[in-house]
Order: sequence, then structure tokens, then C-alpha cells
Amino acid sequence: MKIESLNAVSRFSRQFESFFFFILLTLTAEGVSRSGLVSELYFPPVSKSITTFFDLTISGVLSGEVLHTFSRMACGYFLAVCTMVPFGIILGISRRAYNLFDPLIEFLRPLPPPAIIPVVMLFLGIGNSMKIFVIYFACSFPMLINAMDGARSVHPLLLDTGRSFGLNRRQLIRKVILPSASPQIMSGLRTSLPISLIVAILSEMIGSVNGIGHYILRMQRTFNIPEMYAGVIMLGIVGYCLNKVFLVLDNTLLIWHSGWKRSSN
Amino acid sequence: MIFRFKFKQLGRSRFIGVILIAVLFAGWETMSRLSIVDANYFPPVSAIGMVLYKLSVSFEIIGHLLTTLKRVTLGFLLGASIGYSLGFFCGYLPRIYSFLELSIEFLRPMPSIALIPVGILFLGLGDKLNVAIIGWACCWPVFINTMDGVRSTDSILMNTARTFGLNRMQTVRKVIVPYSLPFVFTGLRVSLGIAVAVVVITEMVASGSGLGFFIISTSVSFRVSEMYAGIIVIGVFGYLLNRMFLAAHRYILKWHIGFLCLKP
Repeated sequence: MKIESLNAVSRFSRQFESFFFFILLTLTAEGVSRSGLVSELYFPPVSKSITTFFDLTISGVLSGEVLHTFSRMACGYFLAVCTMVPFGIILGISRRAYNLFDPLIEFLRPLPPPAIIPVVMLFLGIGNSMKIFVIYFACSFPMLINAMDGARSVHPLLLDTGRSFGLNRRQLIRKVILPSASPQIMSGLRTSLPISLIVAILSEMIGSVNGIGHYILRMQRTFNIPEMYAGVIMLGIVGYCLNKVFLVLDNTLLIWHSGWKRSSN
Repeated sequence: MIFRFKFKQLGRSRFIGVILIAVLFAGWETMSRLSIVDANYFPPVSAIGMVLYKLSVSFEIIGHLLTTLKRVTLGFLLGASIGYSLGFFCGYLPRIYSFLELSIEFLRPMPSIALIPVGILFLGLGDKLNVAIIGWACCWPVFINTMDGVRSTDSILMNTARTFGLNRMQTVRKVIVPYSLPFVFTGLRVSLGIAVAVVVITEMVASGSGLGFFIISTSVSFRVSEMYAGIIVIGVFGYLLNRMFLAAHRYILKWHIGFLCLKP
């Protein structure tokens, strides 16, 4: 249908096209705002939002809020990784454990994580522990299910090979099951990353005094609109950076997997 | 002897998990009634059940449920249609995508929840805000999956279509759309889950009605049994939506599931 041109010049010009369009979009937004088509209260010119963004970041207001959000998110996320991934692997390996816990997991799974927040707010108030717990709960299910699936779908040939080499159960787990399940586990970790960000922001919007979600909402309520947009821009950048960092980690840790996938196709 | 045989089978079936759930419920009930845990925070399960019945009969929760259902449906349809059209165009005409790529990659990771305050400015605090935010959140998974499906149309199929002399419109209708449909449905399923979560979020933060608002308002006014009842309703709601979607999936993509089963 189409031939991807590998010519360096055409590749560069393709990237340039999208960049050019992006700049065009930004300029249109600026024009729309300055000309008064949309009320300038609701939609300040892009230049104003960006300058406010830089002011707030450098003066430490925005960066402080992001640090609060990010530290809570990291706590909840890593707690979930440390508890749910081993648990999921155990569930994948042991048939009896799976039979015991699977109905409970299936029962809790359709519950959207935001629905948990009021309950947790009852018990833990509106402090940091509430947010960390909610993030932990929200991140758990993708990680758990992916770890479980990854451990369960180890190719039986690999298991048999391991057993015929005389590996005992612990060695089998360490040398065969864990490496084989790690792409799936990574996929679960990657899925729960945006979930943790969203739940962190949500828990701040509902009950918090710091953090970037609360900041954006507060700026909206006090009609400091350029500051609000600055916060939104910051959030977009945070999300983008998290994605990129995770991609880099994924490629470094699972470098064998991408090569294997490419060669087997 | 029969008793022993059944006992061994218990560990092998998933029935033991159901027993675990029953045990947990029984434990909750007893601990609550004996006041081992504070009954204000942990009302007995039977009380929750009674409250659920009362609420459904008094139509309080049914009103909220219908509002939420309406918002989810509209938002999901909006997001899915935008995502599908955009994804289809970007997949079929890669030239357009090369223009839009950077902008899309910047807009996509923006969490929909961060746009709620922006939405409040423009759309106020009503149904329109909910539908818009859900639409934003839903369109990205559908977009990516549609584009992926259209782009990966088997070249054998395209060449066969050309051999048969189909023009562009017919190729799209008879080859590309059916081929990409399984991909689209994967995206739709993901965005349905996202839609349910996002509707609860938006209702919690910026709404005066709907299930999310219901559980927040009952939580702050300490009507704890009602809060638990609302959470149960949300869970069941999400589960039923998912089930309905799976049934539609199986019906529409009968041919694809059969094809998958036949593959060696």
C-alpha cells in the first residue's frame, strides 16, 4: 500500500512536517485568543500560559506541587510492584492458590478505582496515607493480572526442559518462569503507570491541600486562569516524561525480548 | 468415602474461592455486629443489603444510575466515533498522520482528569462536561487501535482486491473495514473500561448527580451504608456493561472468533 521511505532527507522532512503543524496549531490558538473570538478570560493566549508556566516552575510553586504528587505516586506504585508482582507470580504458578483467590479478584476487578476513594477517606482522612493507599489499590489489578497471566502462560516446553535439566522448584522459578513472564509483567507495569497518575491527581482534587491536581482545581476556582493552564501544561509534560522514561527502562531491561520478537517474525 | 472424594475435589475447583468470599462476608458481618470494628465505618453486610433495597425502591439511586448510564453511553459513543474516524483517516492516509503525529503525541498522554477544570470553564458543571471528558478519554485507545488495524491490513488481501478490480471505495468497504474490525473492538473494550472509571471521576469532582456524586455525598454526610450500597451498584454496573459489550463483540465478530479457533 505504501513504501516507507528510508531516505534520511524524507524522514527528516516528515518529522519537520508534524513539528510545523504543531507550531501552526499553537499560533492559531494564540490568534483565536488574542482576537477575542473566545473570551480571553477562558482562553488566555498561549504565550501568556507558557510564560506563566516558566515563572511558576522557576519560582518553585509548580515544581513543589509536582514533587508532592510524584512522591505519593511513586510510593503507591512501588508498594504495588513489591506486593502484587510476587503475589501474581505465586497465583500463576500454584493452581490451588489461583483457585482460592481468583473469584475474589474477579469480584473486585470491575470496581473502578475512583469508587474506593470515599471509603478510604472515611478511614484514613485526607492525608498522605489515603492517597498512597488509593494509588496502591488502583495500580494493583493490572499488575496482578498481568503477572498472573505471564506466570501461567510460560511455554510448557520451557518448563519441561528445565525439569529435564534437573532444576528444583525454586531454580525453575528463578531461571525459567521469571524471565519468561517478564515481558508480560512489564506490560502490566506499563499499564498501571498512567492509572497511578490519574488516581493521584483525582485523590488530590477530592481531598488534599497540596499536589498538582489540587493546584489546578484551586486555580480554576479562584479564576487564576493562566496559572491553571500552566498547571495543565506541567501535567502533560509529567505524563509525557513518565512514558518516555518507562520506554527507556523497558528497552534496556527487556532488550532480549524485542530482538527475539523481531527475529521470530 | 463419598465425603472424602468431594473434599479432595474442592481444592481443585474454583469453588474454594467462592467459599473464601463467603467466609470474608461472614467475618465482616460478625465483626460488625459484635462491634469488634466500629459499626459506623463497617456496617453489617445485611444492613447494606437492606439499604440497597430501600434505595432502589425509593428510586433515589435509580435516578443517579440512569444519569451515569446516559453519560457513559453518550461519552463512549462520542469518543469512539471521533477516535474511529481519526484513526481510520490516519491509517489510510499516512500523509495526514505525518502532519498530525507530534500534536497527537502531545495530546494523548494528557490525563482527562487534568482537563476537568478547563472543561468546567467552558462547559459548566453539567452533562456536557461529563460527556466531553469521557469522549476525550475514550477516543485515544480507539484511535490507536483503529490506526493499527488499518495500517496492518494484509497486503495479500489488498492485492487480491486489486486483482478483482475493486475501486478505492469498494476496497475500503469490503476489505479494510472488516479486517480492521477486530482491532477496533479491542480498542473499544479498553475505552469502555476507561469510560466507566472516568464517569465516576468526573461525577465525584464536578457534578451534582450520578453515582460518583452519590457516593461522595453519602460519604461526607456519614450515610455509610448508602455509600457501600452505591459502591456495589457501581461495581455491578461496570460488570454488566462489560458483559454486554462482550456479548456484542461475540455476535458481531463471530467470523473472527471462528477464524481464531481454526488457526493451528
